[in-house]
Amino acid sequence: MSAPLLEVTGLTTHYRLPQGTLRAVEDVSFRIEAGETLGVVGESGCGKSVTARSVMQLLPPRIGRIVAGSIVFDGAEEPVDIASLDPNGAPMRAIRGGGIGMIFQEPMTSLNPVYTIGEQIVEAIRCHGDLSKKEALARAVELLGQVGITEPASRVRQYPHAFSGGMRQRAMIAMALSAGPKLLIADEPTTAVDVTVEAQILELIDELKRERGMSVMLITHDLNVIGESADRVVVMYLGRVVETTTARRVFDAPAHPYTRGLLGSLPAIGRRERLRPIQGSVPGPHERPPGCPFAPRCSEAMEICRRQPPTFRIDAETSVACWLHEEAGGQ
Amino acid sequence: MSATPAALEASASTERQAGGEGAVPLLRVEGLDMHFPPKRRGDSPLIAVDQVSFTLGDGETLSVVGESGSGKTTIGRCVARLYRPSAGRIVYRAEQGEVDLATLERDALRPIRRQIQMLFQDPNASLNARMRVGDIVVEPLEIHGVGTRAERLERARALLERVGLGAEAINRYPHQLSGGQRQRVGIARALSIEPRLLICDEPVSALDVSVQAQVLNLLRDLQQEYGMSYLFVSHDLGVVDYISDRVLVLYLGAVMELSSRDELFDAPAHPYTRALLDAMPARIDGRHRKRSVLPGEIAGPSSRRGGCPFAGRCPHAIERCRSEVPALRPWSRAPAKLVACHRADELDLGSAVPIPRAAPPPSQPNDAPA
Repeated sequence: MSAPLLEVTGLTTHYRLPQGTLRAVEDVSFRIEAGETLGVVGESGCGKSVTARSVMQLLPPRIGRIVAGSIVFDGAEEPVDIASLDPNGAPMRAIRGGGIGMIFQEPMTSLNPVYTIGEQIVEAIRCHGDLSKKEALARAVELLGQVGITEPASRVRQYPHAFSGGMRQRAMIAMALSAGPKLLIADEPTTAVDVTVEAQILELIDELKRERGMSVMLITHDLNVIGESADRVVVMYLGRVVETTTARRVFDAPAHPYTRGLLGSLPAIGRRERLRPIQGSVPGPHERPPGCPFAPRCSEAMEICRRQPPTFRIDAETSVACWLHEEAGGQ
Repeated sequence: MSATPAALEASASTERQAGGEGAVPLLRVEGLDMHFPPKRRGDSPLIAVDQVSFTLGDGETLSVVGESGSGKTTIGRCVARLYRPSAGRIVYRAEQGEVDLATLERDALRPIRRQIQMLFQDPNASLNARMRVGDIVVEPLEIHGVGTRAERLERARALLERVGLGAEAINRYPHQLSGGQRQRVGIARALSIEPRLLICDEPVSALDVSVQAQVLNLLRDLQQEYGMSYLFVSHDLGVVDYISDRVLVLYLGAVMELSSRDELFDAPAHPYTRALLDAMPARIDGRHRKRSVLPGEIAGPSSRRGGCPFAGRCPHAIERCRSEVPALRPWSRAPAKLVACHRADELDLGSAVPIPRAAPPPSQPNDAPA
């Protein structure tokens, strides 16, 4: 197997807050192969967004810090460990928006309301290439067309407020794609839009991925989005990866009790039998239980769950951090 | 259980409604309009709700679904009389007799407000951060002068216990609770005064999936116990399928379809319903189907009404759809269902999702619709 495009190993990210240190991401490992979509799924506080921000080195200055682990990105001439780069240095800036593009849940927070859509895309293009303003504008129009914005030549002169929610998300995608990234990180790209627009955006991301041979890291709280768009999936809970598996198995054979709980909680068209929720609620950020983070809510918790389980590898596709799978063997 | 013949009024068809209180629904909304003043002077007013009619029976859940900007929240707020409707009637069968909430003045509204409570989407925004949970829960009782303080607190403990928080939550503050726990406080507060109608405005949208399921189950159980009616506003058809008896589909403030839950999913009559269902994620035979994509987006509320509001996005639209507003009328293939589409009778929209039914509906030959 060739080297993965992105390999995250033992990533640990802390937030220094007035209430104390928050272990937002702990010992997280995963890989993204070229051309695949990796889904990262979990509820609030699971660390999925902080993981993405760590990869982009977009942590809040002086508060968020990568304290351990490596993030090896193999999208340029030679592999580079993002975790070792200065967040403000030129190499990191070249990767951010160059090798790796990112889109966010609420496009309005990432688009500047006082510049036209075109000006913002032109700026992104010129950051990562030596095109003239005129060439960059032509490229911006082309990109807007590629993300499905009709009449891009006139739309490019409009301000974000003139765009609908779905169009803003498309403009964001155009901007993220402007430097031809190898990896697109999409952080809850459809949470703020209607279901009909969600279907459009997911399809667009999928198309672009295939056309460009990009990889996608798709962060979501919605298992259905995973089932539709992801090849493999990482399930996170309270800052840790509890299961890594394929998008198909997450529905057909979920291994971790938390993954099974998520599935039992999911209402779906045609599902009439009583939902089987997970008991309790996600503890607050400063109330992390010792040992397995899910143990206090787990209906199958045992004595040994007071100790953090290692990751057991069930087979080539699935690994799970749960003592129930201890017989599956070591790491 | 004897089913009444499907009447013209869509209220007739649910099992829970048959018998009991008879034919008079708890709530009957007729020709409801809600217009908001335009943002700029000289523009025409924005039509948020346009000639909406429906009924809600005792112990029944009617869901109002639609995309953002469809006016679903506004309908809930009109019924709760947080807004005064621009036109139309909201006839509520109070213990004292029928009253029209749309025109009721403040003083006359007060006793009715006891019977209608509201549950909001964001429990952080709707609970007073400075009040203890116990005081939040009993505030409606206090406002309406029910019981002594000791009795009220006793009731708060019982309610908190019932919604799964435990009586000891009584002395806590909202910020000490999780989102799901806060929504339980909101439910306990709404229940304190034993309403007959609970208006739920996206009550689980802000909650994590695992907690959302807990709250949905709780709402279902409480309805069984208390016999309340729910007007349930939601954008999530999965949730709607789980909780509803009947469903009202809204587009740009107008009713597209009003149907029993099963008939909505099994036999959508309106192209917009079909499009919404097609855009929903669904897993069939072990894999997620490809969603079909409805082009375009819902426009903002507008003032212009020259035809079917959905005509611009509808794959089946003909000239007539752009010039003439379709009336909401019984569907020829299932007369208990109402649909506002010129072409509803000729189109065959099929079944949106092959729905696995846990058990086939009890079929009684003599109950079959004519």
